[in-house]
Amino acid sequence: MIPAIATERLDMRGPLLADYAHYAAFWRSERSSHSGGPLPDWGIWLQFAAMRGHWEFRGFGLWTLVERSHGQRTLRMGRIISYVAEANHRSQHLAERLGARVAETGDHGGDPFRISLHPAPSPIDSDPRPA
Amino acid sequence: MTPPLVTARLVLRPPAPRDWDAFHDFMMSDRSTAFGSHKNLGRAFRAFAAEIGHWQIFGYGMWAVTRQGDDTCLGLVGPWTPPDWPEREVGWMILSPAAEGTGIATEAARAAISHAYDVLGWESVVSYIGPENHRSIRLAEKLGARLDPAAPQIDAASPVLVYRHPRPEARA
Repeated sequence: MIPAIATERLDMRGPLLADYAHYAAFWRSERSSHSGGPLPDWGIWLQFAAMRGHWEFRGFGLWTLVERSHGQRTLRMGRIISYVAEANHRSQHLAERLGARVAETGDHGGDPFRISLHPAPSPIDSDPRPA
Repeated sequence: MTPPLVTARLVLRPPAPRDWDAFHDFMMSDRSTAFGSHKNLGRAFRAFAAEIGHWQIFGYGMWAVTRQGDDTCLGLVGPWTPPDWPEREVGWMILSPAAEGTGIATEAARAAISHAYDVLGWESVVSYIGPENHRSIRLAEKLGARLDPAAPQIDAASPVLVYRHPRPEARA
């Protein structure tokens, strides 16, 4: 079972087949270039199914984020480290806003990236109970 | 829980995290060049996680093929149905070189195809096969599948052979 988490504006839940069209549109577009995309269709499916399988394999994984007001799926996330491409400034800003510190830099097939480590949550929000 | 399919020699069960070692060894070997993840650990893991995720998403997927009395995963055979494919496939990959030529792929594929028709209620079952994959073509023919040149392609830019499987009761 994938735990569902409700935040102020978001419902976070496991990926469903209904998310696929939205997910595939991102991975076909140039917006995915910092994440290793765009991907061919077969690769998008493999990655989507792998995202679901990751939960069974590891017991944790990426959530689908649904903005409650829109009923629209937005992003995926859910780790305590973030790999961010050196050129992906938006994601770097997000990591900084979350309080993450760059722990390491590296190189993936010629593309430099940063690994940022996220701090442990403060006691007040350390218990995200399943909704 | 999905009950396993039991054949004369085999038990087909959903793949599980414990099958990773067998899958990993296959993907890191020269036998996996047809699967696009050859000797790439990240892609190999993704491909394996996708096998498990397929089951979670659809409630069915490729079966882990084991011998009765030995839980080692020798191959993966069964349904593979990405939402943007024109038709539903039963595919196969034999992980263990020692299992090649023993007829277990044929035995497992027969069981998986019957299950797709009779239990999953599919109207038709195809296998998409690379034009150079002679072993797979032989297996499809041994299973009684017929090449269907009119079948829609997954990707018109890189056509593959589409073999269509007869319903179990129509097998010779």
